[in-house]
Amino acid sequence: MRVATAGIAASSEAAFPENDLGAPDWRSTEMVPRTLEYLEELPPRQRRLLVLLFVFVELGAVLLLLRFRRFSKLPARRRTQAIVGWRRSRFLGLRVLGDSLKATTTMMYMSHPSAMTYVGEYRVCDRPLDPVRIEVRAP
Amino acid sequence: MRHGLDDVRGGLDVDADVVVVGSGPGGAVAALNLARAGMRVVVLEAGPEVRAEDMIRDTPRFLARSFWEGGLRIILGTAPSPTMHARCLGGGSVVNSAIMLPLPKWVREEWRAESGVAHFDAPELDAAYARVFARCRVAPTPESVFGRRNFLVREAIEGVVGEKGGGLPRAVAGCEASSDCLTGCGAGHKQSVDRVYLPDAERAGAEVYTHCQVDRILMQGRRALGVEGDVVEMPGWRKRSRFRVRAERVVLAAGTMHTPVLLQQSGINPRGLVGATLFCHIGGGLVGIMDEVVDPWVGATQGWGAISQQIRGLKYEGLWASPSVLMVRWGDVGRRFVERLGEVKHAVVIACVYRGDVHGTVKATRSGDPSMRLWIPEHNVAPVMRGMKHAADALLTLGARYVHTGLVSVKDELRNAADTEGLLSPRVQAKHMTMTMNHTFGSCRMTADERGPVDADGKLRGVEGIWLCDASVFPSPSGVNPQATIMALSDITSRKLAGLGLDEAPV
Repeated sequence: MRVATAGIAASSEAAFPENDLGAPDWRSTEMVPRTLEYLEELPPRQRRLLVLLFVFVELGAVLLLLRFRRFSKLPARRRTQAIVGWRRSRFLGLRVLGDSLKATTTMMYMSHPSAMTYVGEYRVCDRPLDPVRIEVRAP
Repeated sequence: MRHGLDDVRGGLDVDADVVVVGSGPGGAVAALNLARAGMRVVVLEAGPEVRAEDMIRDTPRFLARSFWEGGLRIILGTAPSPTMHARCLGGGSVVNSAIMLPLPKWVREEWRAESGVAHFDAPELDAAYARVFARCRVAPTPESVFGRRNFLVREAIEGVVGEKGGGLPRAVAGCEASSDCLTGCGAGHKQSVDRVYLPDAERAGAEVYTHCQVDRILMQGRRALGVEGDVVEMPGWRKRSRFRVRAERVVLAAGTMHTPVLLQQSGINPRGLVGATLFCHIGGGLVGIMDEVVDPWVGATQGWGAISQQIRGLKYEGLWASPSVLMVRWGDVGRRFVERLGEVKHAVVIACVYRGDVHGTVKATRSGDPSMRLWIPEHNVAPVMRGMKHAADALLTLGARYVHTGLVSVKDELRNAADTEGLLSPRVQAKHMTMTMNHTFGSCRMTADERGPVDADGKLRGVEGIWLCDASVFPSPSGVNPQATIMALSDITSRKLAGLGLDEAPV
């Protein structure tokens, strides 16, 4: 699981890096622990598939990028470029890899209250029992 | 009575007159009718009950808990696409937009002509719709809960494209415009079947069990004797123990994917027809970024829609879902994505849903999950793209800065009519139509003759004691959201089985 965790952190940072825009980043949205918790909730087969995805991206960078380093050891900008490139590849396997990373990291990022608040999301009625607290107000 | 995990963790072994597999729209209607007729009814649901405290806005976690395969299910074929099927008490009715549209007249005529089943276009179906609509308090979405988003969709499609539409009829009473339909209505306004059918079925004597995943129909020769399966515990969907329900009547309402899988796993496949067909609606969504602040999270999730008169089989509808789902395909990665986050509050989403003639198959895998393949004919691409072009042009006419479609074969940002022409380019092929295929049907078609595995009474051919009450019996795509028709057909099948009248007035 250590390798998968490194892959989650490396992909999360690549997708949602530290920035000067005022937007929350991968650390402040707690993407690594929340992704690990999410994996625990999935049915066994889907959990294995997602763990394999992150293990593959962490170790497979050697083959995919021809860099003799793990994905997490590459600079964040290079990792972002890699995911963008995979999503645009003409090879279906690479597109699936890139899209899966984009999908997983986006789901985790956008479901954090600080990301919801940053985009301006609010609700017109409260869910008092929901641990995800976002602003409730009239439109 | 309702039984949760604590009641079944150690296993279960009970007798009944009829066992209903699946507690969604089809299963719940059947359970109520059968219980009212005095039968001892057991309802089995593979997932949990979703209570108000379970309806959380942490969408990935909600999907993991309440959907088959954690919401990560994919249909393979021409354009591999996600497909989401609820796994919870009340099934899809808990997590959809509650849209309740009856079949268009021309689809009813086509169904009757191609299947030979008379009630597809007869007063019996009208009466069934009326009973279902009355119980679910179906009413058009009022403008008071449109939010700016649904008004903009109406301005675009009705005002600019010229398609007459209206507030979509939904099974919702007292909507508060929270836009939370797809993670369950925490306020309890949605009239999902776990609220409006199952409680009455329980009062009539039905026993409802959650966390019970059926994996086999028990048979003696060609006669059904009940079902068995695993008690499944959350989180992580781990198998805890086995259960068995003995009943001479088995009603399958496990949905288009799981009903054929269950039959195949049980070695029941009359003439190879179970799972040999599969249909779905195709389409696409487009996001318009307006100058004004839209606050798309305010308003009914799918409040306004129009059935196209210009493109037969196409439906336009406003749409919203949690950004954590919508933005999976939206925009880029890294800083370029983050730079765009400020635009989300300006977004309007229009979905174009097309009936088409997509076809495919469902097969059981060794793990017991369904493996689905769907093939999209190339001639289905043009009508969808024409609809998307109309909608994109309309949003640009209303002042959208740009329109995003997510299609790999067109420009990422459509900013003018020349850009939207790209939607009609021959470069846009069926394989590019990545979408979410949530309306799936027809894996065990109902026909009057032996071309389909299910007869006009909803009974599976070639065996005794199995009836089907879900979208798997649709002979072809419905052209509209399927929930109302699933419930109406289940009402007819279960009334015939229970010996209740088909002309009973709505309650």
